[in-house]
Amino acid sequence: MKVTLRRIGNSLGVLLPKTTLDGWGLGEGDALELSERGLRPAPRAGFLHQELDEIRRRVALAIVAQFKPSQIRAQILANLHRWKRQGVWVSAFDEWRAIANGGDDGELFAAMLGRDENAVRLRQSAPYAGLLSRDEVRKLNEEAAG
Amino acid sequence: MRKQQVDHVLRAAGRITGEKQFIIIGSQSLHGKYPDVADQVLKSVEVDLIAGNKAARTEWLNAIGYMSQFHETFGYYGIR
Repeated sequence: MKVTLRRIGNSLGVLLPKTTLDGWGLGEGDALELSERGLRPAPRAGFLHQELDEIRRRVALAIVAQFKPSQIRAQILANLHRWKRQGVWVSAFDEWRAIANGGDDGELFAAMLGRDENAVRLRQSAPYAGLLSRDEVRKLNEEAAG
Repeated sequence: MRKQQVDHVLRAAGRITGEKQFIIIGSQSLHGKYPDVADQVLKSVEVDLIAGNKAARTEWLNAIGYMSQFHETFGYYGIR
């Protein structure tokens, strides 16, 4: 769709059709984002739960691609050990510790990459933080935000 | 998660965004209504929050988000 630039005061602007605004779910006072790629709705303040889990899966995929299972296990156990000493513990950590100590790579990958309810739940409390660089995590977050 | 750990996430979020009010979504919001809720009831290590008056700044919370240094250090994190 083409829109015409019109003079608005000392500036030039465009009028956006109501159908487009309705499609974007926007109204007066809402924000649009102007970039080299064009004009589009500003990113939402948050993610849906499905989107959040997709980010977690992407993080896990990046880790599995870069690290050996033994390295992932070592990081899991080191984090859990430190967090427990600091008084931070939830029941999912018991499950992760068992997975890390178990030596079954299939079980580790199932928890990190699975799409079943149990894997989704375990990823919320993932103890492999610290393996990816800050830049890599930031890039994954930016990709998810679009 | 304990209430003091949720408070820690909120303090960090406040420093990052300059916001003083946050909306907590999800199970950790129980800490607001029931300060004595048993730790075992709240099994998650994530605090799902939105900056109250500066929703756009909620994006800044990646600094204390999933797989952040904050997450690695403390074992819990904030999400948006």
